[in-house]
Amino acid sequence: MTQNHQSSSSPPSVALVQPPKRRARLLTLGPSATIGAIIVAVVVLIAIVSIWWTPYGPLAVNTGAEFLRPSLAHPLGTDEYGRDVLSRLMKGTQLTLLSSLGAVIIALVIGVPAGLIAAFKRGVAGEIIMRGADLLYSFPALLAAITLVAAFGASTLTATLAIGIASIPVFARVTRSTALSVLANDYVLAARAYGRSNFQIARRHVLPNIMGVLVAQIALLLSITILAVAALSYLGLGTPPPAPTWGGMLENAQNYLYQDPMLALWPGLAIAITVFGLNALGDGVRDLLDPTLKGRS
Amino acid sequence: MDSEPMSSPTPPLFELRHVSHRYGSRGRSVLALDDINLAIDRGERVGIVGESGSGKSTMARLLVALVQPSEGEILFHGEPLATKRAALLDFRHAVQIVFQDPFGSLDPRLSIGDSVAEPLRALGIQGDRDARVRELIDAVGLPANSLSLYPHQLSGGQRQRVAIARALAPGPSTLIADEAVSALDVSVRAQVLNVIANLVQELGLTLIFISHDMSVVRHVCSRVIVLYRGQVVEDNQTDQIFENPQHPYTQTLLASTPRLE
Amino acid sequence: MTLLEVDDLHLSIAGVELLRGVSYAIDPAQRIGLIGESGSGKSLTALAVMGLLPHESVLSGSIRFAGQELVGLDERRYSKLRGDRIAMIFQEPMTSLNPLMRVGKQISEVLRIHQGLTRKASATEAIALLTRVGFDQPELQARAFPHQLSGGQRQRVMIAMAIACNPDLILADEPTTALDVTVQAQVLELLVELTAEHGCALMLISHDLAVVANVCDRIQVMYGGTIVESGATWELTHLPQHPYTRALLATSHGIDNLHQALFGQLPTIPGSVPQAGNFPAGCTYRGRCERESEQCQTPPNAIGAQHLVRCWHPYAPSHEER
Repeated sequence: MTQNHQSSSSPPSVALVQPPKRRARLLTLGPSATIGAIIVAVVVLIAIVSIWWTPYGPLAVNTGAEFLRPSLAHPLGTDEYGRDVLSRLMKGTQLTLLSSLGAVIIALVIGVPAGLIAAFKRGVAGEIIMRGADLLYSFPALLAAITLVAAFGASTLTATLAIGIASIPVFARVTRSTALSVLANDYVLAARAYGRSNFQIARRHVLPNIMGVLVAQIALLLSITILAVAALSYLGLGTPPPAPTWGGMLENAQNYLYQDPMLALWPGLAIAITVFGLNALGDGVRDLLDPTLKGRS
Repeated sequence: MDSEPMSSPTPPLFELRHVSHRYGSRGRSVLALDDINLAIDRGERVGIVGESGSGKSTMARLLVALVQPSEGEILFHGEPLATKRAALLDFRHAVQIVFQDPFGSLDPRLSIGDSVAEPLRALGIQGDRDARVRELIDAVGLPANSLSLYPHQLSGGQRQRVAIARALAPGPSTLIADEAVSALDVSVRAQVLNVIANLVQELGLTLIFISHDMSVVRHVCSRVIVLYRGQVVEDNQTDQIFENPQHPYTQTLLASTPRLE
Repeated sequence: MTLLEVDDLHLSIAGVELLRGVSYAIDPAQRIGLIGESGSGKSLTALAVMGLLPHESVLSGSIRFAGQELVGLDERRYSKLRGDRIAMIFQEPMTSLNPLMRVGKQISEVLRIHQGLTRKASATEAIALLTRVGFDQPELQARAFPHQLSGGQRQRVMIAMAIACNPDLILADEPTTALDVTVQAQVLELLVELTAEHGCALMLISHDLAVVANVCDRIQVMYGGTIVESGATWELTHLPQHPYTRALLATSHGIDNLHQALFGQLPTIPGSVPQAGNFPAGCTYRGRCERESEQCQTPPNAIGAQHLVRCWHPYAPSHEER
């Protein structure tokens, strides 16, 4: 193909439009988000480690060693049965994360496709989905949990399910709104013009472009579900005792506030720090992705 | 004033018969195109000119089968356009489009090379894709090292060239340019117009150039169709339109275009 | 006395240099055009005069309006000037008008703030202004919200707001770019009429050389954050001295040229417009200029007074351009 380059030529290499400084900024989180990331990493590490090892058995009753102050042997002391608080806390991390992660996964797996469908099918189908989400959103998760527990008994599964279902609308909404803004771009039209189906467009163009927003939302939702899981187990609607859940430990510690006020501190602190970490991380990820969402320079 | 298509043994490439298009629901709808009848032959370079509300964007979408007309029919090679996606695949090979917005027409997550290769993947075109992509990028005047870059690293004019390369990937015989240079700087506009003009000539493409800018259309089209409020008000050879405009709207349009002394 | 005197303006935002030494002057009732492509800094020049630059801007140089220095002026005094003595019209009326306020009210607000009119008096004056800018049912249309009006009508509202307090200077940043060609002609005509009537100076910013040439007495060409050529309209469009101006004219003429063969090659400028932060050192037109030399690695000085050009190798003014 002979080409006439004389008038439409461009210089040998394409000039970079973005100054280098901006690209570097794209890859670093802010200070609070970095702290959040570290916290989350530590928590996840503890959860994983506790699958195989905790300093003591979390259920190991140790009569004669009740209400011990923090010491080298028991860094966080012991509870009313002489059980090591640190070990229980570690195990609790695993249970809490499991529940909240499970809930988020349920919300993700149902909410994202629902949001995508609502974005693609703007008519009646889309409306039905969004109004359904509204309905679900307005239904208190706690009430749903109580109902499920009454029907099926308290367990990790019921807590996870209740919170998961209650969180579906969060993902449905976020997915739909970001998908809509992606679908407004001409590259989606171009994709249709070379034969892509809706499904292919969702997979190839929409999901990758909303991924960042979804990741940020996952982190934020995790912080909410951890609180929700703690609340449910506090109320006795989650994993039944003697399994160590943070909420359960908190509830339990209430009874012994005079003897050992520290007992309530540790699970409370664990919840607070984890929630803060996830929030900071989620905010940081979301801020990072904001300017590049639509690819405008 | 419609000019009749020349009678020829082969049917025209595109034929619009009583095509109307309406947006919105029954209660409050907007009539974008009103009973359009026209034909475009293979190899023609047609400009479709109009302002906002003329229906030209709707026309672009109808011609590339992104939208189906509310009324009337569109014939391609004498056959009515299919409605199902699968049946349209051949058509999609043959007719491609370049859009106006250089910032929104490329997926920011895909590299230039990937963007240009997309139609090849979508339409299942076999063969050495890398070679084809390199050939296309070269044809639009971009250097080979741009393949690994991302849209935000290119200027508006460069992105439009990529969009043109992508449109040519499936080897279409018709190219539709929907305000393809309107969002570009003046000096860049000329570059991209040259690219389009060269490629259309070399590849023997049929060109349908939609624009609000008469002077741009004048450069690349031999026939101009003027749209006003969803209707064709004038349809003639380019030099006739410019030297001897018949319809008052065409005359106003020409008179309003600012000229350097 | 010169109405507006801009002297050696330098602007950086977040360490990126956007304006490098912009200087120009506007006389009372003069119509002056500012031509440039994206990245030239033309809009920023206007925003600098209005004091509407973003917070992180570092602006140095001098802007003297009717003898008063504007650079470093405190916000309180600046806001008294804006709308009253200097007004600005933006490109996109949909985003520069308050979508929640009826247009009549938006106009009367300007009057109440700057002229202290009562609600009734300002409403009446607003209707008079709407009539002046061409609305045929001003009482009714004053009650419309921006989204209920067409693009051209919204720009007319913006013009009404701009002339409401009889300013000395109007800065119009691409006021007709977003409009249809037929509407553009009408809006430009209105702008010219009103500025002449009120004795108000106009700075028209555009990328369209033809638009500016038809409206303005003087044209300034901006490229890469600085003014590369400035002169009377006829001289600049017929005897351009800066290589960029010549190339720009060739491109505009080319598309418009009656004698251009169908599919002939349009004259183009090789390369692409440098974006902010990527301006080449020395003369910003380097890399695209047909008269470039070693000397161009240092920024060229401005030569000439009435017709100013910033180039080491300008074309001689006797060169007839076509």
